[in-house]
Formats: sequence, structure tokens, C-alpha cells
Amino acid sequence: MWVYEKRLQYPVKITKTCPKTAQLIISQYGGPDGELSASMRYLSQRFTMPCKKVGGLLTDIGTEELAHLEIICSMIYQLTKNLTVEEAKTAGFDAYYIDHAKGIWPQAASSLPFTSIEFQSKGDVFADLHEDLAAEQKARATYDNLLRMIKDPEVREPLKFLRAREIVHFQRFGEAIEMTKKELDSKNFYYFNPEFDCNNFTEQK
Amino acid sequence: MDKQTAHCDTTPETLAITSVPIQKRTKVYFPDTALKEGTIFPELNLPFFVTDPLSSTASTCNCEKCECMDANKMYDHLFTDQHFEREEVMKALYEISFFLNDMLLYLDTHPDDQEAIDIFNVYNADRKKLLQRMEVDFYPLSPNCIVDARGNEDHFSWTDGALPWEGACL
Repeated sequence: MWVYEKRLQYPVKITKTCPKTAQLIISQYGGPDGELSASMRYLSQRFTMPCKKVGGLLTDIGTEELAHLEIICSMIYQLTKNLTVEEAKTAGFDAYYIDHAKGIWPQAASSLPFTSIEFQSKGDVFADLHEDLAAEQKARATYDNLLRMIKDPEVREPLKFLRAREIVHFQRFGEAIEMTKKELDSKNFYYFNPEFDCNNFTEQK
Repeated sequence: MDKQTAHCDTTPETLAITSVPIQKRTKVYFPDTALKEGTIFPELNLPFFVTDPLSSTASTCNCEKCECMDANKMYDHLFTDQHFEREEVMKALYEISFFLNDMLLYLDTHPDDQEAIDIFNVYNADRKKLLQRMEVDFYPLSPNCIVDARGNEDHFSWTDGALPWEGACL
């Protein structure tokens, strides 16, 4: 269950129309390493986590990622809300405009539509948590790429905030791996799959 | 972790598995700095070199920016009967709420850090008061706040206020 709060996690106020920038940052909404993928990844993986605390962490980070895709969408919206058809033509936003006008739709910068193929819920705790570590790094790298290219401070500030979150989340997923290792036999972490071979696994408090 | 570092490289405990050190909390940023930097933890603030020169320069802890339990005092004036602009209440709410977001994730993996729990509780109490202030003076931010909203007599107050993506929240 979720309860909506009528505000963003980080304030977004962009005054200059720029469809080109919108077309780049949309990747962090619906792209391969975007916030939508991130949220769905963690919120899907959490159900079968053998450690209760790790399931809780995935819920909290997955929830924060929902707030992040709301930030990205707000940025795209504000970058294009006063868009004219002439601007759409010159800034390379024309193809998106034909399909969506100013509507917000999850796709990558390359225009590939959002797809769940971009993330995995493997039903294996180490496979999943390592994917999560990699996902945070890929998202961080995407924000780095955006920050190299985008100059408008009104756009950069929220991007910098979101980039910083990837690093914190990476640390937390690392700690989740340590918490899981503690529950297993350190002589062979791979002896069984605690998400599937449940009979072999009892979580200590 | 210490044991693993000491053995290093060759035991089954360390081979073929990722090891990330557990964070040892030192100090945390004031909520206004934290929101700007994207974390409450100086040791996790690792900015990219292509950032604006005016902010996010330090990856190390600047003690003046660090907080003690008293840092929330900077918001005390908001809990008086005085009238405040919506923007001012919202700014405090943004800062305190983010502070709690980051502390929550930390506590998910450090549930026994009593001092962190105490800090969380102090800020959580402030957040509740600010949510109430928003609701009484302006409009409810969440359906949970509608219960006491002043606007319900003549109309349903949940529809009041700007939508978050319109850029009017701060």
C-alpha cells in the first residue's frame, strides 16, 4: 500500500523550454537504467528475499525510486510545457511529438520504449542483489553523461541530487549482501538458493 | 568485515563473493545541506568532477556543516503561532523529509544504532508538526492529513493546492 504526498522529493522549477534536454533526460524515466526500471526491479525482487530486513530495504528504495521517476517526469513536463511545433522540429523532438505531443511516455533517449526486459527478478538473492549494485552504477553513469552535456543549472541541480542517491543506494545494497551472507555458511555461500530451497534456510532473528 | 580483511584473498569467505564494508556513521549534514548534496552522510557524498563550482565541492566532512542532535532547532521558529508563507513551510518540509528518507535507509541496515534512532525520532516529530501546519494553514499534502483539514466544511480540501509537477511547490 502506498500513500501519496503532494510534493516532489527534490524541488523542480525549470523556466526555459528545451525539448532537446527533455529528449535526453527521458532516458532516466523509461530507459534501460532509468528510475522506472529501478523501482520495478526492487519492488519485484523483494517478495522472495530470504532476509526480512533486505525485503524491507528493497521496499524503501523501490519507493524512493518512484519519487525519482516523478522528479524526472516533472522535469520533462516543465521543459516542454510551452513547446511550439517549430521548436519541436529544430530540437530533434519532432519524432516524439508526432506520437505523444507533450504527453509524458516512458522511453529511452534512443526512443526505445520502456520494457521489463531491462531488469531481472531472478529468485536468487545473490544474483538479484548483484544486479541491484550494477543497476545503481549504471544509473550513476547515465547521470554523469547527462551532467557532461547539460548546462542549465535549473536542470543540473535535480540531476546532481539524483546521482548522489545512486551512490547511497549502492552502499545500502552492499550492506544487504553482507546481511545476507551473515545468514549463510561462509564456507560456501552458493550451497543452496535460500529463496527456493527454503527448507535449508532459517533466518536468525 | 575486519576478519575478512585480515584473512584477505584466499578464504571461501572472501573469494567469489562481493564484499562492501558496512558504513560506520560519523556525523551527518544539517537538513538544508543534505538536500542540496543528495545525502545526509559526508562520507557518502562523492560528487562528479563535472559539477558546478559553487556547490558539491567537498567529499570530506566540513565540521561546520555537520550536525548534532540540536540541528533541528533551526526549524523551531516554524512551530510558533506566527504566520509563515507556504514556501517557507514547504522548504523546511522538503529538507526534514529528505533527511528522514536517507536516515530510514541507513536504519534499514543499521537497526541497532541507537543514536541514529534518536535523531530519526526528533526529526520525525518535526515533520509531523510541519505536515499539520501545512494542512491547517494551507492544504493537506497527503490523504492522511485530511482528517483535521480546515477546508472540509465547504469543500473537499484534498483538491486544494498546486500539483507537484507545476514547479510551484518551493
